[in-house]
Amino acid sequence: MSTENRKPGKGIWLAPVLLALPILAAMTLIAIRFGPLIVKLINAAVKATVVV
Amino acid sequence: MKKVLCWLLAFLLAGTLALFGISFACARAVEPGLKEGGTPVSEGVQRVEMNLVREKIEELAPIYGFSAETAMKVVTEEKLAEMNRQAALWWNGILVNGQAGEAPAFKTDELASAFAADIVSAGGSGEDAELLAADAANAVGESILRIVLPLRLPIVGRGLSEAAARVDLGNIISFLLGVRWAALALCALLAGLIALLESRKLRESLFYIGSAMGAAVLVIAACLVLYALSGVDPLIAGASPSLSAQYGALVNSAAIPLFLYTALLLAGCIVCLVLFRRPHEAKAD
Repeated sequence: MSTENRKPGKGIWLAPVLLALPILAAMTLIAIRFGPLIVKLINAAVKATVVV
Repeated sequence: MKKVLCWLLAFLLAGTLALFGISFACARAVEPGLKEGGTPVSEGVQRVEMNLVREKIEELAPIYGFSAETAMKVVTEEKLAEMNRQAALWWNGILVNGQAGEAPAFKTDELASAFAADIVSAGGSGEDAELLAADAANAVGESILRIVLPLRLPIVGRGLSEAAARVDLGNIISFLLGVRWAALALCALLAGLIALLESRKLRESLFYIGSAMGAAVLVIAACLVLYALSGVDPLIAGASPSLSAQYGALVNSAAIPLFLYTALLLAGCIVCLVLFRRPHEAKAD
């Protein structure tokens, strides 16, 4: 995307999405890989420490 | 090459802006607990606790043979507020020193004498009435403690002392609270570097900074979606209604600054990108 010589089109509004895409992809992968484990750990911690 | 570097800096800025927002919101929720005396619970939480206490007393009354009205005359809102102050001090000890202090306790003497009078008037004999009243008062006191601080205190205390033998929890917490300022400094540095790289056409730097702000909004939104999908809230609500109310108040105190910050970032993104576009539009005209 050239920002110097030609008038930027509506495409500039896509720049934040493109910039966020790698972070979102990494977050999704981490959530898929470790999400269930983290939830299980929180569940175990809650069960061990909270009085029902 | 300059463009690649600007995109890379914008990418780092987006991550750092998101990190600052999340760490700032978390610190806003935890910081009041670090003040001397801890953080007082909100009126809403205390109302929920009072309702739970009433329910518990009504459940125990027929078992021990005391009147629920008598108990509710003794267990006033002021006494519950005092218990909450003790619980806040307990949390304060953990957050500041990494060690659980003295566990809160509800004084049951007044309850026991009120219950004894109830049991005697219902036809119980003197000595038995006193023993039964003491048992009932202890059960009510324990229930109140479980509502105000619904944790297995010996397990938490043991866990904390084991952890304290290995790491300095107080230091870790103050380090985590400092992350937001480090992130803010890094944000300023990265934005400054982008402006420096595009110093000939300063407006060009608005494009990268605005894009980074917009990307940070998307990352924060994704974090909130992931948190909502994790099901932590229903998990805590299922474990203890009073803990759920306390946790809800904590999450709310973090959510408000996070939403304000996200709105600010979004506005910044729009302003930067509009300002970036304007000179080109003027040239085109």
